[in-house]
Amino acid sequence: MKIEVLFPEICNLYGDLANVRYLKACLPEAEIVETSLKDEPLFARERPDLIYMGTTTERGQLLAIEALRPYREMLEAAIEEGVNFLLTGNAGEIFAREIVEEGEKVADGLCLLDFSARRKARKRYNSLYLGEFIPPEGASAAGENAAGENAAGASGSEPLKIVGFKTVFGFGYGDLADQALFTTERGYAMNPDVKYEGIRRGNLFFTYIIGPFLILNPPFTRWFIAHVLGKTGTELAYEEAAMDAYLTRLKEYSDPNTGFTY
Amino acid sequence: MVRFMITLWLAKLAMWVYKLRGRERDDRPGLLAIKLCPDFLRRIKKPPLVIAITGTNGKSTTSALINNKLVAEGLRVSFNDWGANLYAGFALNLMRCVNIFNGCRYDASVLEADERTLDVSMGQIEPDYILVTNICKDSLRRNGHPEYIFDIVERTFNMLGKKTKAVLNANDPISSQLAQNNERVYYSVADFGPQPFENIVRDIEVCPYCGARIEYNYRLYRHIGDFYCPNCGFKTPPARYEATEVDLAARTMTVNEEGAWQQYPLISDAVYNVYNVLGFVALMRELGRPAAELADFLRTQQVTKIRETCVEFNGIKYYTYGAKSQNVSAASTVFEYMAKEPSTKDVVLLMDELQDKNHPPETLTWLYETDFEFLNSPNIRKIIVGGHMYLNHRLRLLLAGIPPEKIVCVEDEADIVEHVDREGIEKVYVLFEIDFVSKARRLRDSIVERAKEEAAK
Repeated sequence: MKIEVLFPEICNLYGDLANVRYLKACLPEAEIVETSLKDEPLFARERPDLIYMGTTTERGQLLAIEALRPYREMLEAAIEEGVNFLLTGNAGEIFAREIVEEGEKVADGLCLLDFSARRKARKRYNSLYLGEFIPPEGASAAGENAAGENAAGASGSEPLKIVGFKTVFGFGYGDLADQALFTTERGYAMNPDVKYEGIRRGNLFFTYIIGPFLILNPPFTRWFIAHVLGKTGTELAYEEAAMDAYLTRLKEYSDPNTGFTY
Repeated sequence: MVRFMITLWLAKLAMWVYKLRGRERDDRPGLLAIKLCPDFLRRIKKPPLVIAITGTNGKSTTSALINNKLVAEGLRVSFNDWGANLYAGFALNLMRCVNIFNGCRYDASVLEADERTLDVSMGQIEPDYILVTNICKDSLRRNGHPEYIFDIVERTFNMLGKKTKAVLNANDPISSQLAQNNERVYYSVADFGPQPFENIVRDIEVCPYCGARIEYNYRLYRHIGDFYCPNCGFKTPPARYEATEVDLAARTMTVNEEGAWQQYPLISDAVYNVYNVLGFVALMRELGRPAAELADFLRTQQVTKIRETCVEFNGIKYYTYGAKSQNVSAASTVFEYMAKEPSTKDVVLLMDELQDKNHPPETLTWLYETDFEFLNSPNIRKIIVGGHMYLNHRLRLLLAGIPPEKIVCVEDEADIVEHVDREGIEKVYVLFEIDFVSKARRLRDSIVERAKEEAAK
């Protein structure tokens, strides 16, 4: 199994790269291939099992767009072929139509995801996030562990609760309801007018949630490894400790007395 | 002007009332002044010398040294040493310098300044000097990312132009690029072999001008070192003040100042404090203070007690040691120090931000940018974590490869005391979030008391 990490030298904010380290801890046989800005991407030569990109700065986004633009058609083909992608934080904006700041276009994106990233000049929105992921029909069994329980600890195909953090300078706008990744219960959604968060296009998963998303969400990670990466029955690294922390966090985030925005 | 004068009188009255109540460090009178007169900081008379110290790490230590030196000279100095480094704190600080007619009666003001709000505050205050210690990864919630902070500080220097001289760390690829249109002077440190650990994430990895990977002739800690871009001219700028010989064990450094050499004492054996002392030396030399006088002064200085205290019992030293939770670079640097400081030790992590406990909860992202891996060191016998985030700490420590038997995580911080070793170690470090100095000392004292009780049995 090969996991390509795009531009870890710049797409490394907020602990996002811990997602890759966690996948490696869960899947020791996985080979992590780091692609730098000046390198030819691995996906240009072969099909990795997963392409990951994390959060970067606003100038980092421009560098990443320019580095990927020559490979835009290859990326389009990879998405169409069902290659797995995981984009966290503002990495998804690199794949968007455009990035706009205060009404002025900053950059054309790669036009691989049909939305526009619109941000305010240096206005930050920070929030916790609580949402729900509904595994596609027939996929839930793949998320079961060896004991036949699903990620939340119960049998069956129940929705998976998602927790995390968001820090954004703006929001994503587009007609994306049919590609929604998560349904938002609390915290900032894709934009203030909708309830969904993130995008799923084929096997491309994008969420604005930042940081160690996979570590924070062991139920989703178990599902992702089993159903998307095809490694059924994989035990997560320090699964018990991860679940203890997750369940406590979920309880805290579900408490209506818990504040959500900073 | 009328509005300002009325504001000054009201705020001074409030300041007097707070002083009578023994709360002269409460910055609410400053807040009142800013609310009543938004350009209060611009209108208030400033002392003849105003120095601002900003940056992610080191500004408290550096500004304390600057203040202490000026005070030792007999100058009347106003210094926001109580950590109020935002508008209200500056207003209170500067109000102390003036009488009710806005006549200045102080000689100098030393302002430790928050970097995220620097453009608004210093744009009005117009200090004579701004010393930038460094720009590193800090709290996500407070500071976003280093590039965000760089832009704010750069905007400040652009506003101030020739009014303000910049004193900059040449070894920081980020902050050394500031003040391109201002008068600026640099300080740097030569390689003295500290053999820094590799961080899981660096604060800057690519050239800000061409995007190529930054290379180093040597690195001293994090991204700080002698850097260059192999693709363009980006490199460490030449420094007027270069620490050429650093001896951490002897706590000395020799500074080459354009061919003149002077040895200075250091205040600790930590690499980052070399930069803090050197920044102080550079600024004071720019002010014309004789080098030998500065060296004599530094012999009288030590790390501020806000950051570090120590008591000893039964042959074990018990420290409180400021580590800044949420601040990725500070916490990682302290963890590196814990590994390199050779004594056998227990490390207590008291790093929850209490204001986050209730509303809203703390973010966890910092745990995964911070190098907890450094704590996986043979000289660290046990890591004890307390507080409401204990389960998250436990997971992070496990993922850092630390053996489970070395990890103790308890929800109730009071339970920490029971888990600290009382034999087989030389030191105990209570690493604490710097907003909670008293709490850390109370816990450390409880640990010592428990050791005394055991010894008495």
